[in-house]
Amino acid sequence: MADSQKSESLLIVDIGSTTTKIGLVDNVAGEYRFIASGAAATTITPPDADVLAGVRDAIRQIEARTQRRLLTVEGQLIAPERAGAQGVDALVAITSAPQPLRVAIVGLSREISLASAINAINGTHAVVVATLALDAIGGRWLPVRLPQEAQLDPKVVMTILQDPAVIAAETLARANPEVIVLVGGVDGGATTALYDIANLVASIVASSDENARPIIVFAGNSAARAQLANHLGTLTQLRPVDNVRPTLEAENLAPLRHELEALYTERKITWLPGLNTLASWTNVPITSASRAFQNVIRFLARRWNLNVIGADLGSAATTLVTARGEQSTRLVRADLGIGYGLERLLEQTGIERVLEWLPLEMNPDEAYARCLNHALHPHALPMTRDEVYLMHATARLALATAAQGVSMDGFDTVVITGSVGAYNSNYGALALLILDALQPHGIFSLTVDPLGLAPALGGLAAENPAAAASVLERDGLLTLGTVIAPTSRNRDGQIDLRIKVQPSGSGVINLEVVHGSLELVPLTTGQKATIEVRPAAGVDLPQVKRGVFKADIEGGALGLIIDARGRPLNLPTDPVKRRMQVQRWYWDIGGEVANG
Amino acid sequence: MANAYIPALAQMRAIKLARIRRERLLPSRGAVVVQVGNRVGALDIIAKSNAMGHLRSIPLARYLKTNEATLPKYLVKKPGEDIQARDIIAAKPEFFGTMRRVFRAPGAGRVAALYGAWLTVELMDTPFELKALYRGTVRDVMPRLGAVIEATGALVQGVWGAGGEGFGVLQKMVDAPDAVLGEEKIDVAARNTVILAGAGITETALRRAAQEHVAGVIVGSLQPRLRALVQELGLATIATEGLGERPMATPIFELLASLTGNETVLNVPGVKRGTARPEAFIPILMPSNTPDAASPLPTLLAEVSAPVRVVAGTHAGELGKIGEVPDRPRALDSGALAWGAEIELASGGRTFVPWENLELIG
Repeated sequence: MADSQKSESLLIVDIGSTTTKIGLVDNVAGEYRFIASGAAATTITPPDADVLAGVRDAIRQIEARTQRRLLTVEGQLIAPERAGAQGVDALVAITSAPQPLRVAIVGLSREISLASAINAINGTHAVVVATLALDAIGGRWLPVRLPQEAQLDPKVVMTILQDPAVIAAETLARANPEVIVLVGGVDGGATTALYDIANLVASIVASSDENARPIIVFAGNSAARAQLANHLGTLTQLRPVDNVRPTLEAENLAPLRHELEALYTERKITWLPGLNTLASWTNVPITSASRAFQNVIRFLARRWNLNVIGADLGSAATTLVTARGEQSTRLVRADLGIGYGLERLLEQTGIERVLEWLPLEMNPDEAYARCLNHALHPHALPMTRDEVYLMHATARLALATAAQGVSMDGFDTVVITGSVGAYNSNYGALALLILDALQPHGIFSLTVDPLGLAPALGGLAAENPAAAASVLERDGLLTLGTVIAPTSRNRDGQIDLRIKVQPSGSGVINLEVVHGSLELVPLTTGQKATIEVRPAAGVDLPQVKRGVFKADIEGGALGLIIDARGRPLNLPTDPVKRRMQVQRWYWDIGGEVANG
Repeated sequence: MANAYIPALAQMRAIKLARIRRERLLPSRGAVVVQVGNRVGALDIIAKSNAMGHLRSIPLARYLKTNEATLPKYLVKKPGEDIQARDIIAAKPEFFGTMRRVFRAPGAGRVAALYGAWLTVELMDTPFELKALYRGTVRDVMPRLGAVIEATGALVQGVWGAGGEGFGVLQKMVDAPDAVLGEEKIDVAARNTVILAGAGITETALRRAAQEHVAGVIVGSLQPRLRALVQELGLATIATEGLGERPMATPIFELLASLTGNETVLNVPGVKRGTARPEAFIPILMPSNTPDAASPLPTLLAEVSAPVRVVAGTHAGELGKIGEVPDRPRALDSGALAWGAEIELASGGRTFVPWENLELIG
């Protein structure tokens, strides 16, 4: 491969669970710019179980669109770039295609160590297939909790077995985890109970086929490490990390997350069919898409000293990343998606919650069937008005479910990526989707990833940070506008805000914004404006000091959005009124979908 | 047209005669009982497995009221030994040897391990027998795993399936691809047959089919709420179009209807990511002097005039051919910009369809 210091032209590859997206980046007049993209179905399942098939297909699309040769006749990448604009200097790749790690958590206390372990796992590409807790005080196994899809017949277990310890053991064996996370005990605390659960885990592991034994990650009382190594280390791979709950008051999630991330790479990413060849095309490791996306959000936060929240709405998973200064969090929900993950999303929310966000009437059975058919063809694009609204409704639910418990206050920028926003010019509908789902509070800018390649730019940062920054700033993100979203104790119709907008080159606009309304003041991309926001009594906007907020803002694809609908959003309970309300919001923000 | 490019498309097989090869694998290692060159029928057993055990760990030290250090000496059955249900696995003398505290095997299997205070036994499930399913010739044997069978016949793949495998004579139950099959048409004559429905099948018809020991169902689509019932009834079912109430594509219905009376197998490997599509296969015997007369499955090429099926949108389920391929993406009503092709629909007319919404069929 080319020397990474001289990579002027690059391909950025994002192998998703459904779609493989590739972008061509090149140095144009001293600046790195996005040139073209291609997208193909991800090929990791029969009959084309080879990621390269999809990668080559997407590259050939770029070849056709740019008349630039990138692959040899044999399908190998031409690198470094040759005279006559053939090939590229480098390629970087990220992926979210593998199935998540199947993780079981075994620990002492459900409320303490297990809760922390779940918090840590939520930041990784993993699904919890079973949680087993030994009540440390009573020494009794607590009732088993299983995810809905667990392949266990509870009738059989509960009638044959009455001993909670045996049920716990059987549950663990049947859950067939790839990784067992063992937690429990604060640092310096007693270790006896930990040995009890280690014995249980060891008995299951020792009885399993040697080639299929789960890896054990120990993230409990560090004083127990040596003895656990004797117990478990001889049976399978034992990977100790710092205690996820070192004290009753404090969590330490990063070491466990880091270990699971490493396991995901070792056990999942590197095992994708065809990945070895793709890896030989690149100088930098192929990383997870969620990690790459976190790089992007952290870059934005550092570059402009902002508090940023980003959401990647994928086919099989939803990722939520925040960055406030040097602090960054990542939440990966491998059970929430709007393609492959749609059925699991609906299992959690129910189809009725989807219907709440439709501006049109739809039979629940029909809506459910349509969603399931989309899960069977997750790459399909919505064509009809009904399909578009249905996709937007499920996207709202996936985002809202992932964001439960995440504070939406104090962000300066909200970024959305994923198929729902890529190459989509219905910016009003996109903005409404984001506002409805996340319900951010305050004054912030709303940004989408128009190419669907923002996470891949996070991967590019490892190869060529300057190129990643340049493309991100110039082509990678599209600002929809500035949003003013207060909370208010007012009733519908009462004035929430008085706003003065002074766009450059035109007259002053004075607005009295009533509670319950959603307003759009068009400001085109690049158009500057000065705003003065004066909230009424009982209205809260964190940025307002001494009764007024003044700022210079820039327009966007939409302009200035004033979301005075309040937080949390309240939808009418009457279905007819609710549909009219949702429809009105689509109209208000210019997001109405044409009849197909 | 310099920029026009046709990407690889998903594929759905629906073909009247082809030579296919299918891997038949045990769920866990076992013994393959056929050899390369053997001719096999659908119900012939080609491999067996006994290793479908599941593990049960027991806190034996607690049961015997002892500690883990002394536990090994009370074991009557050692790790690795076979056990039958109710066999005594461990016994500890009590009251100066006048009584024994025993632990009996919860089922047949073997003692897997004694670890610390825990004993693990592997309990045997019912032995598994792998059927050939595809009538044909064994072309390859993977020792302990399974075999590859080559077979000749008609193949129709589905979009969704459940209920495992089915085998029986194909029987057309409705006259049109948009008809819904009701219970009144299912009677004792349907026993051991694979029934062909149209757009759907009712819940009562599914229940009646199970009562009458119907071997399988091929249907255009299935209501989502009936998926669990299909699983519960263990009734092999394939939906060619999806879920809901979608008529079966007419050419597929006509192809299957023309094969009424032939033995048919349904193979439903599941609908999880990474698994093959569910399919119906109708073996067609070739004359013994021309066993290779049928061609292998043709490669489906994404090119102008290639037959396709639309999978979403207004024309979902319709068949057609790839027509003109624009060299620019087009804006959809959704606001999305998409690359795709003009499709000449079999029902007449042309419409632009994004590549993502097409699959090759044939």
